Amino acid sequence: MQVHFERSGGFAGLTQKYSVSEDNLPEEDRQKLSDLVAGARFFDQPPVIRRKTASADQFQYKIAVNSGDRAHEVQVDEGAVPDELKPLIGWLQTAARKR
Amino acid sequence: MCHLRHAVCFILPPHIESKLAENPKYRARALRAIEISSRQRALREAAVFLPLLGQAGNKHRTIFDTQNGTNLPGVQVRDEGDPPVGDQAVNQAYDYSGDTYDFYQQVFNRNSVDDHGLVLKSTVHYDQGYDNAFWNGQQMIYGDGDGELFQNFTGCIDVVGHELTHGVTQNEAQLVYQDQPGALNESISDVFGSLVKQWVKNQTADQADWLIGEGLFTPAVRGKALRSMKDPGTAYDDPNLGKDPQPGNMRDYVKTNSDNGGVHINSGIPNRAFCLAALNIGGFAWQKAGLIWYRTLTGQLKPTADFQAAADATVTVAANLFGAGSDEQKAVIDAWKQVGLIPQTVAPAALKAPAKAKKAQAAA
Repeated sequence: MQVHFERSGGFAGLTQKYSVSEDNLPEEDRQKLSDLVAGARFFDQPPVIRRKTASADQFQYKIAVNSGDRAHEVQVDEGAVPDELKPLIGWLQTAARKR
Repeated sequence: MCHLRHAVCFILPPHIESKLAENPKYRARALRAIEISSRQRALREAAVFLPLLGQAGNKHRTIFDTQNGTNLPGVQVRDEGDPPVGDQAVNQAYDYSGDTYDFYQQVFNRNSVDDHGLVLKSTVHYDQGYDNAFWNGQQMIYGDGDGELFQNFTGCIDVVGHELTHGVTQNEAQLVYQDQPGALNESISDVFGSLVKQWVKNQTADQADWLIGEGLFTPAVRGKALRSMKDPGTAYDDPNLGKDPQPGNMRDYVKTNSDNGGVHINSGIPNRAFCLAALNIGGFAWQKAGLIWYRTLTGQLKPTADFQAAADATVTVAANLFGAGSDEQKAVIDAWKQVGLIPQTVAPAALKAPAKAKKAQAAA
């Protein structure tokens, strides 16, 4: 499984990118990532999830997951992240920061 | 009928002066009279929209603390009139939103973001290591920064002014937060955020640094600020963050589907136009350039306005306020040309006069 994560927007307008292949992760993290993707029901999420009300300077997230024969991308506004996606985004965010 | 008590009124109307101008004997005098009366007429029109001095507003600030959580608005920690507290972030949010309120009230006679005394709510210490500040449609939210690249987001007066201005735009032009309208929305927040800073420091356009977010970066970052309105693309160049991607001309417009179509990137183009207009006009930037931009935001722009529409509108407003062919209008035209846009002067439209000015006119 390959995961690509991107955070853009925010007051600073900076783009943060992080890509990982589970082959390059220690076993513990590999399992964690797999659980997070499953728990997010990632492949069933709509491709675009937008905020319904006006806001400014929040982040936009883009997550792409490639797993075997399944590939899916989700673009979601910070203020509209479904609860089930939050743990995956949080983990990816932390991993991106550590790089 | 003159609206001002000390108005200079001319005996001969313009069409008679024009006829006189055809006669070589009276030409020079008649042309001068036409020129002066045109300028006076423009000033009288502009006077209708001058702030009614001394009108009090309702400044009401409330500061909340989510204590590194995300449950908005959080615990109330300071209300309007309360003395400073021990938490610097709380006091900064309080002081800088007060400065922003005062700026809009004293310069443009605007009573808070909705012009009806809306309570200015700020939440500080949002989330953990949150390297951002935002406006959620109802209030401001500030993070503490991550401590590595970013410091606390309440520390910069222009950040606070920027966020509050999103509230103003939401109540006025309602610029869609995507692509060019979104970049305009962003630019307007940078423009008025910068003007708040300049106003508090009493700086002329020449004295201003035209930087946004100076002091937000930690000393570890190779950069002076997040954005430069004067020289987009030069604010930072850092191994971790990369280089400031802002363009300063339409030829370098960035097409992307990140950042809502690059709203924080392409804002560099209208930012530079405003800075150039203000520098060309000279003096305090909020007095003329700022007034033109404010009247454009509150009376001309549609939610889907693009850069061309903004250029056209500011040039029209400049003509209505200062006269067609005035130095102020020329400065605005030239500024847009320098960023790669040719403004089209539209037929002078009646400016949407603020409700208070309309009432004053009726009472006169």
